[in-house]
Amino acid sequence: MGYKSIGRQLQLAREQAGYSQEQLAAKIGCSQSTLSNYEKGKRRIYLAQLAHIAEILGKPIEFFLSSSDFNSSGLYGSSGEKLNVPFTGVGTHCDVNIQSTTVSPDVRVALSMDEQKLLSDYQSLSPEGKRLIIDFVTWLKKREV
Amino acid sequence: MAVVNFNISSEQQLLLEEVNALACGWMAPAAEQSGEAGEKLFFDGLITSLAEHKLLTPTVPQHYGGRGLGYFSTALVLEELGALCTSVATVVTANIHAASPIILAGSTKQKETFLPPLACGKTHLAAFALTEPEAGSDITAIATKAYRKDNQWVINGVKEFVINGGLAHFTTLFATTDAKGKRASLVAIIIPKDINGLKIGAVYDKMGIEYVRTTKLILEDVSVPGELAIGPRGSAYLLLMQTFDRGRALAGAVGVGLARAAYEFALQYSKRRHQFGRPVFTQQAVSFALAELAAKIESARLMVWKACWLIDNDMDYTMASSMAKIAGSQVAQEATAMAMDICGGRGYLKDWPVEKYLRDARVLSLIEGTNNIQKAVIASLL
Repeated sequence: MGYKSIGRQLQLAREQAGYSQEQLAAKIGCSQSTLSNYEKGKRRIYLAQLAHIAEILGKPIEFFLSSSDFNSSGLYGSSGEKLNVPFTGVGTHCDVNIQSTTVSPDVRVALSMDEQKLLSDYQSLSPEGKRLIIDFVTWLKKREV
Repeated sequence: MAVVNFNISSEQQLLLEEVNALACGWMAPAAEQSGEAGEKLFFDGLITSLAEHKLLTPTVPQHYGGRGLGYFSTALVLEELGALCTSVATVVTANIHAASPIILAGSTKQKETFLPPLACGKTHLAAFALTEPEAGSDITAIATKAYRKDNQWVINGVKEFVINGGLAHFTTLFATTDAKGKRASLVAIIIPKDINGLKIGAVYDKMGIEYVRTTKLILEDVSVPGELAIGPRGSAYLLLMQTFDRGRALAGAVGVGLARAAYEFALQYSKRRHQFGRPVFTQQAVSFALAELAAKIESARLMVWKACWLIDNDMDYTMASSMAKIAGSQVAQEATAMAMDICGGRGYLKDWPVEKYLRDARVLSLIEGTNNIQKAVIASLL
């Protein structure tokens, strides 16, 4: 049905953000057992609730609808070219197509410190800031070709 | 505090009277026409009257000119329409279905553009396009592709079984941005009427609900502004599931209405028809069957009410909605089959309503996700 994998992603995002089930449940205004059922896929999470959780955990909604390797997603420009930039942004429709690619956890671990710092800084930016970064990287890539 | 109240409010009672008054206005003119011509006149007339009273899409919020009915009140309306004309009830359900993603997650501009026409007093229909030749219940198999070009969505694909196809003011369409059909790549896009590249394919000739125009839609490089995608990026799968979860309770309501109509017809006939010197109803085989049916209809109605109450109160409604859909569709099929048995040979005639009830009932276990899919949904939550 798809909700088990959404639940797994929800658990992953919660753990990455350092929340316990009780802490996140309190933050979103539901019981711990409800959150537990969301994570097990035993209760369907509705869009408004997921959007709220996504905002708290700093993940785009796509993260929860993708497999666990979403963190390795690539960005595609409107002309279809792939941009080799990890993406986590706000969940709004924009001119960039996002497609998940399958990358093993080992590859994620293999990110250098600089890359991890860059990714962490990017994730903490506002939507406008993230857009500027994407535009800048796109411009840099074209300049270096 | 009372959590459950089985009394409908005075406003809801007035709503039912309003719907019945609208139907009554078309009964006499329809009766003057013979057979299908009369049925078609009643269908067209009731659709027009419902539109005038903003009941064709009763869930459109008041802010956008609509009645703003909750799901409980909408279920009451749909039970009544299910009893009067299943085709009309199906059209209303399709309109609600198409508007639901916009109401749930549409932008202010989308709401301001597409909701008011559904409540303007004129017959504006909407359509919901999901099913494809190779994809129905399996959302991940969707092959209709959408890609971005400049600031447009370009869509190519084929959709099947689109209710109100070709008549709709707009179509809420689901496509994928990824050939692999991942859930995250699903996108919900509003397709305005009369847009280049949107072609009407086959108009289906159906066993029942024959006055509901149901077509194939073909999209060849249909290009719509990027702003017509509904909801946050990646949210379309959840939006679709939520639309289904809500719509299923309403399909159950239609089934309850149809079951009620068949049951009432059979009951009246059994009390009027005499065999062996007494009414057929006095035969225990008949009276017990009708008693059991009355209990099942009431049971299905309460399941629909519960599901709709949960929706209106923003509680977990998925399982209740699937159960209500199964109950409503099953009781409709049982009631219509039993009505034919009780009416005997006359029930099989075209100029009696029973055979139409039976044909109309059959679709209810197929639409809004088959009943087997409902069981899969329920099982996944056990």
